Amino acid sequence: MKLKQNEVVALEDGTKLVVESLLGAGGQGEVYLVSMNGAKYALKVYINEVKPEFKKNLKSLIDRGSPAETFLWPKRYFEYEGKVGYLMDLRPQNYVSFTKYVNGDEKAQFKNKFIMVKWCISLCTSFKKLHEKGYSYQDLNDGGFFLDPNTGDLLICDNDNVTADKNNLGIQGIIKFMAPEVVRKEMNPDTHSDRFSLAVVLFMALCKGRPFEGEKLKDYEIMDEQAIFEMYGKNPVFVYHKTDRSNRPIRGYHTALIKKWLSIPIYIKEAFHRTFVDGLTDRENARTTEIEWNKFLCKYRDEVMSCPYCQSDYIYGFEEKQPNKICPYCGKPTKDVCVLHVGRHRIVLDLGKEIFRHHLDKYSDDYCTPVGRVISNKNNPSLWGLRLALPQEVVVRDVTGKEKIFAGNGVILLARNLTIQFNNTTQGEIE
Amino acid sequence: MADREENGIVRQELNLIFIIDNSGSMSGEKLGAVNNAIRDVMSIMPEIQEDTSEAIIKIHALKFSDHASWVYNEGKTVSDFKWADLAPEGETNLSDAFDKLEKCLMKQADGGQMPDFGGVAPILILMTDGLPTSPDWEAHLNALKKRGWFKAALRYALAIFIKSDEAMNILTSFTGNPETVLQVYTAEALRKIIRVIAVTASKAKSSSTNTAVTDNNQATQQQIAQKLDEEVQDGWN
Repeated sequence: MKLKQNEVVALEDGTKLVVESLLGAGGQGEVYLVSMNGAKYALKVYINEVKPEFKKNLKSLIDRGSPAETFLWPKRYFEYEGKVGYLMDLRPQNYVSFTKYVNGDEKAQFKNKFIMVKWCISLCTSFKKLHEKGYSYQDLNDGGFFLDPNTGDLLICDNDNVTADKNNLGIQGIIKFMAPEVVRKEMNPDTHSDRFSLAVVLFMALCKGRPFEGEKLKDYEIMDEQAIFEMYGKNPVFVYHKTDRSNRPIRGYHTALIKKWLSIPIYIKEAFHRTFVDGLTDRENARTTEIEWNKFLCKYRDEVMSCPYCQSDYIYGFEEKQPNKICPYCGKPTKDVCVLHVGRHRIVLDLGKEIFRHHLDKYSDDYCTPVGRVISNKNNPSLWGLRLALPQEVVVRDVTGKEKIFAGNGVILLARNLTIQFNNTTQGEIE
Repeated sequence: MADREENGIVRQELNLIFIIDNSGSMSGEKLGAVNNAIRDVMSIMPEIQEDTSEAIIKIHALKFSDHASWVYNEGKTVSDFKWADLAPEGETNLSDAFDKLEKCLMKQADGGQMPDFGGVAPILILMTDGLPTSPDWEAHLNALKKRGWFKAALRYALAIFIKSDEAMNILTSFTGNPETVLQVYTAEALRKIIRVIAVTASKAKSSSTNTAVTDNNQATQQQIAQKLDEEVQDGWN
């Protein structure tokens, strides 16, 4: 351990930190719980000697500040008696690690698919903002992400390897997440390899699988360096490649993946295929970008609904060969739901579903601020309404042409053939 | 609304195998220290298992005295592995230990304990306090050395409270590298060393971290050596 319990250390301006306990240790450093002026923080201290350019980068990250509130960003630089590190906020207790989620730990599972997709959207939005600031993350892997299973809130940790794009301070990443050109050591990580890794993380989140681990595993009794290099660097084959079926998931082994892939909407499947097939070679143009992901993921979120009989989540199926007339899990008929058409969006108005700012403003990239939510009447739960959360009034016109004005926080009783004038330019129809 | 498919990703098997001498000469402080050390390792393994989505850790323990026998018939997950203290008894039949280990280091389809495909190179930690009483150990080791899983394994040996060139040579022929044979003289050093090896190796082997060195075992050994330097500065040499 680099620091001892109750040891008093100081930031460069003399502010004192009292070490309370060791929170965790990783390959690069140790993280301590410290108190500063009565408040608690996390202090990361590096185990090995820190190079001057790494220090310089760390200071610059702190000066420029966090790209989004989802990043647990370095707050203050720390250097004391030869020990180097940084101060950051503590991770709130309601967050669990993405690794736990991926491993199937019951306590770490998202409440439902709507919440899961919301988390994925938040992830893509965060990386969009990071890339917009001219940074690349360079080490995307499951260990850096956290989630609140009930709200879908995201937290991104381990941000100290972030650098200006095309600038590498030695980090290569974890092979199973790396773009093949980085595995082959032909290139250092950058924005384009970040996008590849982001797709790997999304694949894990949505399908509980790894995009390049299928039948080819059987070629290797032991997954040694050579095997990993071949599967991830030299000759990666997407497990759901449309024409090359040589690396399909193994039946009875990749059970979760096989089951989950079936329920993924077609446009998401295409986005994965593009990244994991065309994107293997065309790194700049064939890797699904964060903006594209958000478009697809929002579409997914909009069409998620639940089975009234078995409570499983599945999609309405707007773009599938056939919409889901029955629940794929229990076989009972799909519930009769209203669909809100607004602009190019089709939102299934199931109980608990939300509409977001971007639905009402085609120039908005705010995919996470709700402006309406489907609720049920307390006294008569079979009556559903859209509770608005808007600054302005809306005008609702029924099938007879009769108009009614609703306050920005009003509740519109859901019925077919209603037209909602959200604002001067946006009108929605409920079908 | 509910996501009904609440199960996990496929993880590759990582086998951690302790090979423990519980012959009569281990009685008292030595075996006591080993028992404590295993318990200490097990107290931190859940954390290591939780932190990886790449590997599922399976733990095995092989004890050897007059004969060698497995504490469990199959590898146990971190949560299922429960340690019952070993008691000292009998001679030091290292040959039988090598035999049992050889049979374990085959794929399950062939009657062994290793996965049929896609497994992670195992971690072997041998602990003993002296010379084998089975003179033909070398022939048995040679058979063991032919196993692919043995060749790929990260191998460590701990010489407990002994300093004999002959014993050290035997352990070196097991690990194939004098640097991965460690001499231990105190219970506390034993605890720390086993902890550092088991924890660092499990962490390293359960993540496909890219290293500058092409040989992953070599990189892991470097990490372990560095950790040992930091954490176990005295009590061993």
